[in-house]
Amino acid sequence: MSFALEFRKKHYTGPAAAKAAATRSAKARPARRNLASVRSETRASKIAGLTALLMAAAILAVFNSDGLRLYAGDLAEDEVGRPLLTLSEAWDGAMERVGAKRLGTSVRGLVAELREASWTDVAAAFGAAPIDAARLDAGEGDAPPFRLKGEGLAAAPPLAGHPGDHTGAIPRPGRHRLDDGAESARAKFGRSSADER
Amino acid sequence: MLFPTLGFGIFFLIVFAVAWELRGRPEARKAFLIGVSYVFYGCWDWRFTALLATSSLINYAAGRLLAVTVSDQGRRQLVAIAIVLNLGILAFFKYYGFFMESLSDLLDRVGLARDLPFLEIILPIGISFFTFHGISYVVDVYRRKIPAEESPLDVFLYISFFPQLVAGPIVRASDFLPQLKTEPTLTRATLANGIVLILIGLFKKMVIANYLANELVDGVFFDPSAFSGPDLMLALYGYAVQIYCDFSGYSDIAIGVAGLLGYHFKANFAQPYRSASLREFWRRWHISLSSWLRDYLYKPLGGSRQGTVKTYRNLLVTMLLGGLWHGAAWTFIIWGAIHGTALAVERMILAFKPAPAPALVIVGYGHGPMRRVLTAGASGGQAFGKALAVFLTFNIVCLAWVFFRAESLDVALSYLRGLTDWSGPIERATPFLVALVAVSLAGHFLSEDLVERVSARLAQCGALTIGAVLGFGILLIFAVAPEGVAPFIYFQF
Repeated sequence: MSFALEFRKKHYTGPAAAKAAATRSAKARPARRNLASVRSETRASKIAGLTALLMAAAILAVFNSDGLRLYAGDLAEDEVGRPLLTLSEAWDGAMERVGAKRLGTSVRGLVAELREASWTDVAAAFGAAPIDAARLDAGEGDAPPFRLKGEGLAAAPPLAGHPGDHTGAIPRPGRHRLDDGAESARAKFGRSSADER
Repeated sequence: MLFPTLGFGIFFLIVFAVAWELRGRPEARKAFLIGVSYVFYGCWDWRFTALLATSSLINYAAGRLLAVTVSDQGRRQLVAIAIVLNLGILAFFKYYGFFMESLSDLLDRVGLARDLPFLEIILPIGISFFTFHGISYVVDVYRRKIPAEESPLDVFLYISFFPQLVAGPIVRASDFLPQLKTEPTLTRATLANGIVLILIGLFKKMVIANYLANELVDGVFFDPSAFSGPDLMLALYGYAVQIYCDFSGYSDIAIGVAGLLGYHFKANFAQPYRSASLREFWRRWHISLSSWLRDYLYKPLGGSRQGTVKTYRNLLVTMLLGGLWHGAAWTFIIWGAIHGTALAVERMILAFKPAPAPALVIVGYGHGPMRRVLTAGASGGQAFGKALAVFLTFNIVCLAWVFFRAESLDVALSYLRGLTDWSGPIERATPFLVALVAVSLAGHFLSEDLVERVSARLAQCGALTIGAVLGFGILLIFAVAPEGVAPFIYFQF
């Protein structure tokens, strides 16, 4: 090798190549670390996810043992599922005894109260005086521009066949209620869908 | 198998554990996910898994043939055949009965009545969704947006992936397939986001949508002539909320479940009832379908590039076909026609509307309270205009919902007649239902990044806390919700 080439390698190309290699490795190393950290984060998150799902399942098994029993009931149609039903019934009974089911029951009770609340209850909750049906009929006070079910209707004549409609009682929710409502409204309007068509 | 059931909970627990165990073996993971997706779909009717497999096979084969075909004409013919095959399957199962009934009516009217080959065809669940997935794949390969897949596993998984299989969102091939090429990752943020989305979706579906369906909407729409105007109005707004909560609830759960498995789906809804125009509404409502229709139908028809008249025509055609996609009935076609016409009219009005005056510039007050005081008049007027636009848009959308929800045209017309009669008593406006509708609508005006912020907060918690939030969240939702699980509305499409 000539002196010139050796000098060039020693003072120019050599250091430049070393610098480039160092830069490359400096760039590459964080990338490798990054991939490794992504993998380790995924692994940790997988474990966290599984823990969270199992935790949720345990909470539901304890506080919603009813659901477990109903699900086992569906499975019990075949031979294999029957032991599961026995087991889930025993579990449900145990949860009832320790009082774990009380949480769900109290929430359901609260929701039922909200669902059954009438406008009078709402007015009372906001400090307004309850609507007096007798006053409304006598023309005193500010009558509402329209009648709401269960409001100021006590004095209205009952409709034949639908005594419950004007008592102010709110029917139980569910599909049956829909038919009741449709029937009563049809009676009040004096027309039916068949007439309409 | 429905999302809000214990059966699905157990199914997902197993899928989550095994899928992440197979993370280092991508092909095995894909095969496993395809297998469980077919189990998920087979729970409704095993016979239709063959249809799903056939659809996937057709699209895979079309992709391979497109990859080896060089000439443009050949590629065009191939993509046309693939689309015809996809739409042919959809048409047979979904529109055959409608077509034969309409043909029979027509022949009766012109005095040429004859026996037509009517068939009792069961509509396979989710057929509209997996057909659109198939078309998306073939067209994206044809447009060279994605390469044709060599492995059938990728195409089969894309079309049958269980979170989006039966009711969307309609995930694009160009969005999903590249995700199968990389190693799936799961971060604490994704985990928290998935769990928050699942809880929100369950609440929307199980509590809001189910109560409104059971106690208000179903009964009123069953016989609208039996109710007074205010009840009909409340039920109509109730249905607007119900369908939003039902469908966006499903989408939220699907996006959350996919996220927990390491796949990212784009949002499908973005508080649609806060839209101040129909154009904005369609950017916020069923985003995956509206963008699909825009990219694969409206734009190929010419979009807005071929003059005003053709733009209106394209809008109308797109929305009519969008309506028909939802179901084979005149009510859906009218729903599409209302939206198409309203979009065209809105575009027309905006074209003639003078450009807005330049905004009042107040210098020297930054963004502080003084600036707010000085601009209050201008912003007050704008806010009123915006509120009016939101109100109008919402009511036009609700008007179209009458046709979408009604069992028949007669029922829809009876509903519209009833809306004008406010003389009868109010039967259904209980405080609970009124509050449910009002609060749900008000929820549209919450901050758009609320979910992200809640997820970020949850991501900082430990695994046990996240599990407790999920467990007690589901417990609370099940306790509050009415009994039973109604199927999602969009399953029928």
